[in-house]
Amino acid sequence: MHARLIRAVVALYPAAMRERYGDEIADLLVRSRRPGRDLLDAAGTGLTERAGGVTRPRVRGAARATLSLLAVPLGLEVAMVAAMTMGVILTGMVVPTASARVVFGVTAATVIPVALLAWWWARRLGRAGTIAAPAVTAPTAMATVLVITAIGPAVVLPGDSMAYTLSTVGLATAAWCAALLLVGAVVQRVRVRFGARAAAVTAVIGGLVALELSTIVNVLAARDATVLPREYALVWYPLSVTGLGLDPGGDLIDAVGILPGLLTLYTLFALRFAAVAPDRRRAAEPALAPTA
Amino acid sequence: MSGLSELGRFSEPAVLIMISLAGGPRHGYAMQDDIENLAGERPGPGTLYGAIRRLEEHGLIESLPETDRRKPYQLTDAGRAALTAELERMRAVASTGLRRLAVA
Repeated sequence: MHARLIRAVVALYPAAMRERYGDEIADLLVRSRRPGRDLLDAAGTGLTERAGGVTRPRVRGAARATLSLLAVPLGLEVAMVAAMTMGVILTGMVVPTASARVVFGVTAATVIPVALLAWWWARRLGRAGTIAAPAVTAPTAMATVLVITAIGPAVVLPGDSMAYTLSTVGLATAAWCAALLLVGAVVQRVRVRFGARAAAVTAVIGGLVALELSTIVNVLAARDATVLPREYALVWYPLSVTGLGLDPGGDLIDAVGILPGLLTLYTLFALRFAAVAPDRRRAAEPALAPTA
Repeated sequence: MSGLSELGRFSEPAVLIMISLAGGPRHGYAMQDDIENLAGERPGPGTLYGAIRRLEEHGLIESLPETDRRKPYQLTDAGRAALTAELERMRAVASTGLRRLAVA
């Protein structure tokens, strides 16, 4: 019988039962004389067992975890805007004659505590282990909330006051989300084949690529080549989050606003969240070699 | 009552599993073979392990250390007593039914 099909059927069982009996059920399916009937039997029991395990406390726990995950993007967005505002005010009070570049640098630095908050939050939520498929759910939830907040007029908007549109934020966020889903899948495979250290390096590189991509998509959608020449596309992301380098007219910052910084925080959260969350599917995957 | 009726739709396969294990420890595949010979119907893997899980939870059977990457199960003392009670109940029900059929 096809190994992937057997894995899919065994995956229907609740984690505890999969861990205890998954290998044995898979062994019987591998050796089955009536594979169609046995697959149906195993799948039916798996669904029954899963339905039997859905208790009110579990539903409450899952709802609480989902709400917590949805609160993360909003919380980080508010914390980032608050930190940046504080940075601008303090810089103005301490050095009233500071140049725009100094103000921008100080403002960018104020986001570091928010990054630590994202790191801590990801660790806390991830270790709770109540969110399924963390590498998929975190970026998807964050992208969804970001686009919804971009629609709502009463919520803090990422992006600038002139070129900001829902379509640019939507495109940039969609590109970021798609890239991060791909990164999550690659990181999982790298972790299995090469270990945690290689997975961490892949996550960092993949995260940076996702941020580069989303910033490029954002700029391409917001400004034409005469305003922001395309040959500098690869420096748009680092420039927009640090304020370093040349952006004499401020066109880049006007085009992307705080979105690259915000997505950096989201990336940090999503990758950390996926790294610390227990992978129940992989832990319980049955061995499929038939026994003698 | 032994408590086997608490196993719901798994109570009948559970009795067959316990009868199979009454002859000595067996792993899943051997139980399937034995039950097929005994009852003429081979239980599917889901039915078998759904019943095994419930029997283990009730302390009526227990697993033994793996041999050849397979985990055998055996009846516990409580399982032996429960099976005895269940079979006696079945025998009483069967003899009553047969007696009534003879009278009719």
